[in-house]
Amino acid sequence: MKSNKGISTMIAVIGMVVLLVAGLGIGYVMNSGTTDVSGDLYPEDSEWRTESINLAGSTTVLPVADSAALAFMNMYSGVTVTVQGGGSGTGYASALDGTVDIGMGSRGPKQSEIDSGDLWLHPLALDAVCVVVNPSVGSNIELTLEEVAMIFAGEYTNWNQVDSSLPDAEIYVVVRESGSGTRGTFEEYTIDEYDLEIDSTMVHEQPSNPAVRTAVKDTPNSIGYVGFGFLTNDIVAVSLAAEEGSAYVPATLENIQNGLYPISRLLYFITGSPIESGSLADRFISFVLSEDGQDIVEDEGFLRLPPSYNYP
Amino acid sequence: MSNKTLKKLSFFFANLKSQPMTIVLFVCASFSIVILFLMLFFVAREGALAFSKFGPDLLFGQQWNLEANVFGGLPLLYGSLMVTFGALLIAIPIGVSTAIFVSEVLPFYLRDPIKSIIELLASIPSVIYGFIGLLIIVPFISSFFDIPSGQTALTASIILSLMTIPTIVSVSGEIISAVPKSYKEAALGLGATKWEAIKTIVLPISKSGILASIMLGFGRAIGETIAVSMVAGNQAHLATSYLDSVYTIPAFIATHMGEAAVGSLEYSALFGLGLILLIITFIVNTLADSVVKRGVQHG
Repeated sequence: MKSNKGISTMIAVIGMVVLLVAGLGIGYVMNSGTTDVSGDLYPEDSEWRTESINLAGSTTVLPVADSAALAFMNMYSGVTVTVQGGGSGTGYASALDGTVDIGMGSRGPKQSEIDSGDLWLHPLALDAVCVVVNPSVGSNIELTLEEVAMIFAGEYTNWNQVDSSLPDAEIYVVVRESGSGTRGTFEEYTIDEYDLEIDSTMVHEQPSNPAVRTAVKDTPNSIGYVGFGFLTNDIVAVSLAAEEGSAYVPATLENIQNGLYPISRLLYFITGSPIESGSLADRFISFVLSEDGQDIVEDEGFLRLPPSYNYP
Repeated sequence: MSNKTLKKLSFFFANLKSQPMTIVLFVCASFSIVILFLMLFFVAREGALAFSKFGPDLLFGQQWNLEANVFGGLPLLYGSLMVTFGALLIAIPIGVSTAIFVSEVLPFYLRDPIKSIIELLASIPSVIYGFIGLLIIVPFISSFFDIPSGQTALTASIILSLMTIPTIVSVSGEIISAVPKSYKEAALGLGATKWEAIKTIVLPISKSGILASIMLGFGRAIGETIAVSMVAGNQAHLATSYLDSVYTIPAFIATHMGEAAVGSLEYSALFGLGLILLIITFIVNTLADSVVKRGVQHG
């Protein structure tokens, strides 16, 4: 009995090791870890495709899509629009492999995403990424993009290194996880501009806009960044100057719409194929771009697409 | 030895034909084993790209840089072990003493109600623990130690210990209750006090079972994701004190998976981290198994 147990444990362990090696080997041979979900999940002529669509992706776009979906479903009874999060990466991946009708992204596509299939981008709103600090730092903080970059890259570790009028306290840096659309936009305008790098061992990561806001609100001497729609009164939005000597621009709706605020971006709907006119996806996107839809965009704290906007 | 095993096996399979219900059970049992093996296989396959590119650096590198495509998980592994160790340091003494108290000392009519209350703790969803941590423990740690942020390794350890204590109490409690009454009565009859009987008879007999419950607790603690992610501060560095922020492997995977482009090197590196976590839990479980077996043989 004893030896039997020993043998079966051995067999199980050996089996696991063999599988582990086999998995590593096969993965290595394939040299890419993708599982292809090919094929159309919804046949073209199926009855219910015309009755429901689903969206997934960026958590920044999520609140807009959610409210728009509710309004849309109220307008057309019998229509279902499901909206899920998951992040911009998920938005692009699911639009590419057809698991959703519309993906959502808070950044442009990466090269790897462009390489893996056809993509159609439909801008739906403007957004700005605002640098925020805890009120303990001061109520009116002005920084240049370079200073912001130096803080986030860990070149400045104490507030009074940035400016002698600021408190003598260690800076507590809050960022989004790498790969987040908000972080991508933020770094594009700050860190990357000055050839700096975020040291992953020095920063505190939070997985969403509200989580960053909470961390900055609760931690004295902290700095972070959130989408414009997530600004609240209990944190201080920093006024930014594009470079030394130019004017400091407060993070207000007006300044972002005029293009004065230095860190702004587009939000996208993403599809893996051209949109058939008249399809439910087409009607939904048109609704978001309509006057009513853009009102929802504003209600959620983002900015209307300027009328003069040139679609790529 | 192997002959005997073969005979038993062939007898088992010969019997299958005549018993349809056995076949059904056999298929179901195989199913769960196959699922486990397939999970291992797929995680390994997805992680292979990162392992082939970085090798041991995936485990020992200190930077996780998406732009430079460099992925090192040492701070995460370190954070995971640190938080889990801290949680067990708190949970073992409390858990084992509670188990002894409930199974041996409490009057008989109170045992079951108290036990069910403790087991209720185990059924609270982890996100609720995360909330409690954020609302109560984080501000408390921040003000008690006078540090700017209460999101520390210590906070995560406290939350995790709350989550592992019920596991330890209920499993150890069963083991301790299973010690034959006659043994204890014999000790008491020889003039031992209640405490001496527990110390010299009950604990040595249930030692291996208690150890197994601790291993189960370890598995629960090292795999916990959301509650830790909410209170640990998520800083991927080699923390020098329990009052520093840390980042754990499960919290890191959960945070990054949504934004990782499918098929990218980062995606594969995340699976690689998952594989490391799986291997650790397998090793711990196997150890627990052998400890229990050895304990039973000696007992």
